[in-house]
Amino acid sequence: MDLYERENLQDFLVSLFGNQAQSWPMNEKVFNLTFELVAESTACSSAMDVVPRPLPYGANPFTWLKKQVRGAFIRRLNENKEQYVVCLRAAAVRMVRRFQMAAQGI
Amino acid sequence: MRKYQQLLLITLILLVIFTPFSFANDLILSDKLVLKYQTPKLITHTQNSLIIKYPDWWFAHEILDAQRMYPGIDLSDNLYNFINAIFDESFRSKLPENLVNLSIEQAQAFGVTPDNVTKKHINEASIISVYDEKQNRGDIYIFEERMIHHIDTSCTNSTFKSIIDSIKAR
Repeated sequence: MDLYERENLQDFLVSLFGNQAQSWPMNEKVFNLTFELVAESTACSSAMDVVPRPLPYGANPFTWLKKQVRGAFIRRLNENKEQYVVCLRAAAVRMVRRFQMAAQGI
Repeated sequence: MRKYQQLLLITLILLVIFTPFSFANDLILSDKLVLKYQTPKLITHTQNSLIIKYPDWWFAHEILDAQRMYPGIDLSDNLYNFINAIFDESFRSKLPENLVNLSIEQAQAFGVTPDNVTKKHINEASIISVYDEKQNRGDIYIFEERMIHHIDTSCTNSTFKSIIDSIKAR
């Protein structure tokens, strides 16, 4: 991820998970969890409009998505974070531990 | 006598093989509760939670913070009713409307159904839990006088039940 993608992703995750996300490294694992969080939420489907689908079973979203698409996906999340935080907040409670583990490298 | 000893030995070996948990450690939850847990592969501490990780499953513990559970929402005046409302519709009438909707959202995210919620008591503490078979994960909330604990886990249903059984009075 380039600096711009990392900043956008971190801003979005801080909005969703609070200050704890300030210390999370923005890496492939964290991106893939974010992608999973959004993809599984039917209420937030508009964020997936920029993503070609279907994602092949077992594919790694980070490597499967072209860099431009990945950047557009993250940018859309961050630019509309007020909306996405509302539709993802319950799923975020369910997935927060996986984000924390990814951030800890485990 | 020799046959008796062999039988005893076989029984002990079978017990070791088929007992999913051997609880060797204490996680002190409060002055009144303890969680017995088996020796993990690793333990990590994050900003607000303790994660106990095994090769193929994990559980985590946190004390609920009413001001940090959701961004921009302060549950301080409603935390007890809100958590109960995730599992029990009758509590929703005690909440403001925005929290009613949120409790429904959270119930859906946890995979709550009429059949997968369990309740129990340990002295004054009450425990409510849900296990979602589809996601192989579960959530346990423990209500004590001064705090609410949240234990979430990714594990099999039998391990989930073992975790609940391993919460004991001190």
